[in-house]
Order: sequence, then structure tokens, then C-alpha cells
Amino acid sequence: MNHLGLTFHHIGLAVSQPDKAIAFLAELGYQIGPTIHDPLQKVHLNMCTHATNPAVEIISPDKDNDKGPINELTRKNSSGVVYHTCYVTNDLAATLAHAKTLGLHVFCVSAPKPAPLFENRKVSFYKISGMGLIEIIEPLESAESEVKGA
Amino acid sequence: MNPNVMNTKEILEQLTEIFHQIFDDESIVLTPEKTAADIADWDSFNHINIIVAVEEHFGIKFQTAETEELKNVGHLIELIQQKLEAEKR
Repeated sequence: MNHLGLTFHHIGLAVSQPDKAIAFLAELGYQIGPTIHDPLQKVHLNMCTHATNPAVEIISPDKDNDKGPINELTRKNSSGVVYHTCYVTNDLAATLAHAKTLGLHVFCVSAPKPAPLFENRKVSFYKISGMGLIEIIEPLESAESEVKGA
Repeated sequence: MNPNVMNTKEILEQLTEIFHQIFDDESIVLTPEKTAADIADWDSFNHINIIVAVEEHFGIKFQTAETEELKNVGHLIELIQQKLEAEKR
């Protein structure tokens, strides 16, 4: 029973350059999505999907901005690193409220922001003790018509 | 300040323990003046690990913006004291 109301969406793979990850995933039969620049998250993104394997989001730093959230991570993990899992919710507030009732320690790392990769639906990041970093995508109704700050 | 709230020295000692665990390095010596630049691997990811560990250890909650504006360990200690003081009221 899915009490948290979260459905798995993708694994987040951080790399310095996406080309080798793209080549590897393509060989596994993944469909490689176009490169999308997210100006609010300061990263470049490729969503890779597969008929039977979990989706993989390849995230690489915005080279024009050395203060991006994964710049240090990719410097220290030059071979690439899986660093978050992503879920979709229909009701973010309910999900977070239920996580609290379970006694989970949830820290909001990044408040909801529109994400160009997901039709400008809002995404937010949380550190959950014992579970690591998770990203949550909100429903289409949360989408903003444009990404401000681009 | 509420006399039942921990003083700076006590908080610093407990913070030091937290840093030792997070960085797996018992040689770390914390002072109020220390910043992220003074401790190897105190990057944005470990900063979040520190904040989560502090929240759990002291039983307090930070706002995301508060944790982004911390200048040094002393500033973190002040914030912890404020949160503990607010909890005791």
C-alpha cells in the first residue's frame, strides 16, 4: 500500500560530461532525450527512458556557473555518481505530512521550482535520514507557464 | 537567555562530535571562527548532512534559507541556541 503517495520516476546520475553515460545507456537500449538546460538548477539534463529498466536522468554541470549544486560532486566523483532518486506525487503537502507521521527526518534542500525537463512542473529536493536525497515532482497543475530566472 | 539552554561551549563540544562522525575524522577541531573553507570535504552535500545531523541531535528544525546564510561555526551555534531557546518557551 503506497501510503506516501509517491511513485518512482527516475535515478539521478551526476557526471562531468554526459557523453559516456549517453553512449552506455544507449547500448542498453535506452531512448536518450534531448539535452535541456535548467537555469534555476544550473545544470544540463538528459532524461533516458527504457521499456523495462528504470529511467535515468543524466545531470551535468552548467560550465558557465561554478556555483551549481553538482559542480563539487562531479569534481570529486569524476567517474560519475548516482546521487538521488526521484518520485512523483499528486499532493506534495500530504506526502510530506505523512512522512512526518512516520517519524522520518525530512530536510528541504531545495524548495519547489518549475523544471523545464518536466513541462515546468514544480520539483523539490529533500534529504531524508536513512534514505538519502530524493527529488519530488508535483502534478501538471503545479506547472508555471515559464521558467523565471532563465 | 534561558539558563536551561545549553551554553556555547556545550554546543561546540556536541557539534565537534557531529563533525567527527560526518567527516569520519576525529582530528577536526572546531572553533566559532571556522568556516567551510577550513575543513576539507565540507562541501554543499556535507553541509546538508551536517544540518540534518544537527536537527536530529538537538531536536530542532531549520528553515532552508537559514542554513544557506551561515557564515561560520559560531553563527551555527548562535542559531542552535536561538532554536533551543524557542523550544523551551
